[in-house]
Amino acid sequence: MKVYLQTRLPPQIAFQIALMAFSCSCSKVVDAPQPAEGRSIPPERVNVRSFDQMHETMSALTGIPIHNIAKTNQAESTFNGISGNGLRNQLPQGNSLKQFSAAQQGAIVQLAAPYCDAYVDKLLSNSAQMLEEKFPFMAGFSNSTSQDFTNSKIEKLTGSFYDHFWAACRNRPSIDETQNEISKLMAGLKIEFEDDSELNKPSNYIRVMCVAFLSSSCVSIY
Amino acid sequence: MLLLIMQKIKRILTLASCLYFATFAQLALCLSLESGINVYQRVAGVPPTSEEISEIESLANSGDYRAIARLAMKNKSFYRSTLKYWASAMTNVTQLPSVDLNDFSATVIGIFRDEVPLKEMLYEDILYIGNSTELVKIAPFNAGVTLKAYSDADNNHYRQLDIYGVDLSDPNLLIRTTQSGRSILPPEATMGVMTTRTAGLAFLKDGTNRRMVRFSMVNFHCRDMEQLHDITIPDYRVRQDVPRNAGGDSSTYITKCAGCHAGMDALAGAFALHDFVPTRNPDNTFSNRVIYLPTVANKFFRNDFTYPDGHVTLNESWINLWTRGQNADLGWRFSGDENPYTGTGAKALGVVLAGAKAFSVCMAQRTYTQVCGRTAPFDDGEKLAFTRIANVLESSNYNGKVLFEESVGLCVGE
Repeated sequence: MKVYLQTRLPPQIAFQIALMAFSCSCSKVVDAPQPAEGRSIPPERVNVRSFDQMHETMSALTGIPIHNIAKTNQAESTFNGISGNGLRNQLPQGNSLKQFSAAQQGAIVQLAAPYCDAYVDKLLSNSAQMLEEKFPFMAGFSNSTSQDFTNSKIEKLTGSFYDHFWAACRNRPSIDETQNEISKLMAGLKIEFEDDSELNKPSNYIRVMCVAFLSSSCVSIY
Repeated sequence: MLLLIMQKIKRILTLASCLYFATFAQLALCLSLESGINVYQRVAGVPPTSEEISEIESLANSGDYRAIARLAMKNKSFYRSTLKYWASAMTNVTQLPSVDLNDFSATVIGIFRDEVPLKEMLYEDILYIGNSTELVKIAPFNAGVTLKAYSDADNNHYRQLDIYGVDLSDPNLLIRTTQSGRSILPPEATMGVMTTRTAGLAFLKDGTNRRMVRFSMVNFHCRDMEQLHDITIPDYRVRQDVPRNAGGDSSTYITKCAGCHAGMDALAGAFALHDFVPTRNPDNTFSNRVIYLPTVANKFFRNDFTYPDGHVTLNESWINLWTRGQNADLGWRFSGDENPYTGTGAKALGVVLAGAKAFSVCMAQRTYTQVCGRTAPFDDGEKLAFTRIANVLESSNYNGKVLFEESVGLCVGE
């Protein structure tokens, strides 16, 4: 995982991006629970996904089978069980929001990163065909540079991810709010990436956008 | 953006048609699309696809949350995440749901999937394992990953099914077999999931086998010893290792110890021949397994000098003293050939435990906790709902899926 993050997404950037996306939608989703009449315990109106549910959700949204991630991500360390320190123990043990802590956001980013990596790789694997089929506005993308990754393309891609990854999200932030956040993130990334030709590729921007969407509260909370 | 506007218009039209066509009685049953999606996610654990959202929309329009739950149960994630969590909390003493798939949880998942009567998980000679014939044909086992075969001595087989995300909803990949055919247990020694390797590790290893009674009650009647504690029942089955005058004061025994031990020790005889100890493998190494002994396990005589006049376990007989006193309200019933008062062996005890009303109510409570995210203490309305769902479960011949259909209805719209 560490190797992956170092070569593809600088960890601090991926983390910050995901946290920003998370906090953006979190403020929309989490209302203060109102005690129901006659109940001593407030009803759980919002649930957090457990480790397995997050895995299944990210797999379903990206179309990447879990075994692909398990293979590429050193299954034993990632999936460590009860006694280990793998992701399983860093993610919520159940669905109660009470079991969710801020530290778990880092683990969600860690889980989202290989899915997005595989997702973008899959989009690019059939030359430009699959990518352009899914995102027509990305025509000619495979030969483009980061300079071609214009605000217009970012907006359209954000809209596509918004509709795809957050289709079932209740109380999702508006598309305008989301685009505003993503634009800021991309602008920050361009500054971070500009001196590194390995990182400064459009595909890496898409990976980061994907991680931001996939590790957001819209995906991890329902 | 256009898609978003279209979606909003569609939702408004749907809601309008719902209001227009509904009578006042039906009006309360109309669900918003958001509520419908929420029902789906509570059951499946994952968001619905675009196609499923359309289906949910029409089902929500008619207020049919049960159908939405059924749709969610078709998703493989229901088995791999929701049901796995539902079952996993029962597999260890800390009640932690986030553990690897194991023979216990896989068997529960198979029972739900195949709509085997749920109560059979407490007494049947049943086990679900990965079908190696089919698994080796699919990724990643057809691409360099060696499938680990089932063994009653380790959890490697199930751990692999877990790690590689094997589709447990596929009846070709997770198949039913018997514990007696896959382990050294004879059929008469099996007690459903409670005699799987995982249960043996958690509840039979070391100790005095009283843990088997305690966690049978915790798992399947949702009652721990504090709730079962009853000092009004006779203590003639309390074993020799329980001091009758701890600290020189016999009142402690009478008011505290006997309250749990009287009922628990009387039932623990059911597990007198079971143990979880190292046994020899074909390669002459040793691994822990659930075994069934020809005579009473030594652990039943540990510290027998503490109170020599205490009960001496001679065989697998058990007496259910909880049929009287405060625990009579667990709803003990005659079940099959077994009576709720006395019996011999773990299987007979499993039949009685599963036949009690408390079993059905507990299953409803567990499901409600899972899908609605609520925990004890429950209010009177919730307790009534558990009884209603328990009745539905029993009238469906213990089809576990109805638990999810009914339970999710208790938190629709939240």
